[in-house]
Amino acid sequence: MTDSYSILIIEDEKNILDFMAKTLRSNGYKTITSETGQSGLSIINSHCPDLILLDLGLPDMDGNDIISSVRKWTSCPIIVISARAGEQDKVAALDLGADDYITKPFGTSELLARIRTSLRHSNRMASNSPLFIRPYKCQGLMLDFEKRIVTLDGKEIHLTPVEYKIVAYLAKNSGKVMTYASVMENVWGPFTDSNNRILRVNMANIRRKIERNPSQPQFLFTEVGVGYRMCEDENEM
Amino acid sequence: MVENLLSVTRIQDDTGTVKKEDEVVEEVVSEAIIRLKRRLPDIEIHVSAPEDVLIIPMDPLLIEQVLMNLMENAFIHSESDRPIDLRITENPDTVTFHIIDYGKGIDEQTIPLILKGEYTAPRTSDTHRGMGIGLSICNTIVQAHGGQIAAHNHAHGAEFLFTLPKGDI
Repeated sequence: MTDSYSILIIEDEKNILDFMAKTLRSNGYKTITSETGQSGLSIINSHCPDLILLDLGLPDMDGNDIISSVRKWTSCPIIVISARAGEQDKVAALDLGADDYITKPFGTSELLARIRTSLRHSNRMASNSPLFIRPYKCQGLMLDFEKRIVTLDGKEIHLTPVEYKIVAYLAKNSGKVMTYASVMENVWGPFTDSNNRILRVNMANIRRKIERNPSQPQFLFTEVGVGYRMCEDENEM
Repeated sequence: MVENLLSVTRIQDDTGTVKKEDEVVEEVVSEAIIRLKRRLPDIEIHVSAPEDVLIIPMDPLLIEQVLMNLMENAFIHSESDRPIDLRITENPDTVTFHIIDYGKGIDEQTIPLILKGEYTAPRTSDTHRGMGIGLSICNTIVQAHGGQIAAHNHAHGAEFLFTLPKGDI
C-alpha cells in the first residue's frame, strides 16, 4: 500500500517543493518537507522516511555531503533532483550511493515512476525475495538468469560473456540508471581502467544485437554522460 | 528557450570552443529524440544511420540541443504531419546529420540571415516566430565544434544539415 510510504523532500525552491508535495500526497504518499540540508538531515535521523528526494543545489550545504552522511547508516533510497547540465554532479551523487536521479524540469508521471522503481528495489533487498530466479521480461525481450540466455520474440540472441554480464547487470537493476563506473566495476572488477570506452563499444554492439534500430532503442537507454538505464521489467509494472 | 540560452554558456567565451568528449552518435541521437518527445509527444521521427558505430568528439548536451531545435523546427514550421527523417551519413573525415521534412519548404534567401541571427519575421505572419534564435544558437554550437550548418529545399520540403569533424581539429 502506497499510503504507508513516507517521502522526505529536501528542496530550497518553494514552488517546486510545494508542487512535489502536492503531487505525492494526491498519489497516496505521506510527505515531509525541508528547505535546507541541515533540517533535512535531522528529519532523516528522527523520522526515517521510506524515500528521500534531494535537490543537489541547496544553499546551506552540499547535497553530496547529505548522501554520504545518510549512507553511513541507512540504505533508504535517495533520488537526486538536479539541473540539466550537471552530469558530473549526478555521477558523483550516484557513485556516493544515491539510487537514481531526475532532471528538472520533470513531469508528474516521470517523478512517480522513479519513486515506484526505487521503493521496489529497496523492498526487494529488505525482503530478500528470490527475485533473480524469475526471468526478466520486457516487450518480447527475455533474460533467463539461471540458464544465462537472452531471447527476443522467442529467438535466442548470442551475446559474448562480457555482453551478457552487462545486460544481466542492467536487467537486475531495470528501471534505474546505472553509472558507467558501477557497470565497469561489476563486469570487469574493481581495479579496471577509468576510461569507459570499452563499455560504450560493448553497449553499441549489444544494441546492434538486441535493438531493431540502435538510434531509437526500445530496451537499452543511454543517459549521456551518466550511464545506462534498462527498460523496466514487466513483472514489476 | 531557457535551455537554449543556458547552452550557450557552455561555450567558452575566450576561445569560442567547447569541451569535447568522444561520444557514441546513436546514444546522443536517441536521448535527443526521447527528450524532444517528452515535450512534443506527437512528433514522429525516422532515424537511419550507418551500421558501423560512430564515435566523434563533441559536447553531447549541446549537440542534443542542436538536434532538438532542428527537429522541433521541422515539426512546427513544415506544416506537415509526415514523419521527419533524421539521416546520419559518414564521410571520410566528418559525420553529417540531415534533418529532412516533407512540408512547405523554406525561403532559401533568408537562411543566411536566420543562421546569423539577423532575421526578423515579417510582422504580418507568425510562421517563423521562434525560429530565429534557435537556429542562430545551433549555428554557434556547430561552429564551436568546428563544423558547418546549412539548409536548402528538396523536391518535397526542407532539409537542414550539419557536419561535425570526426577527429579533433
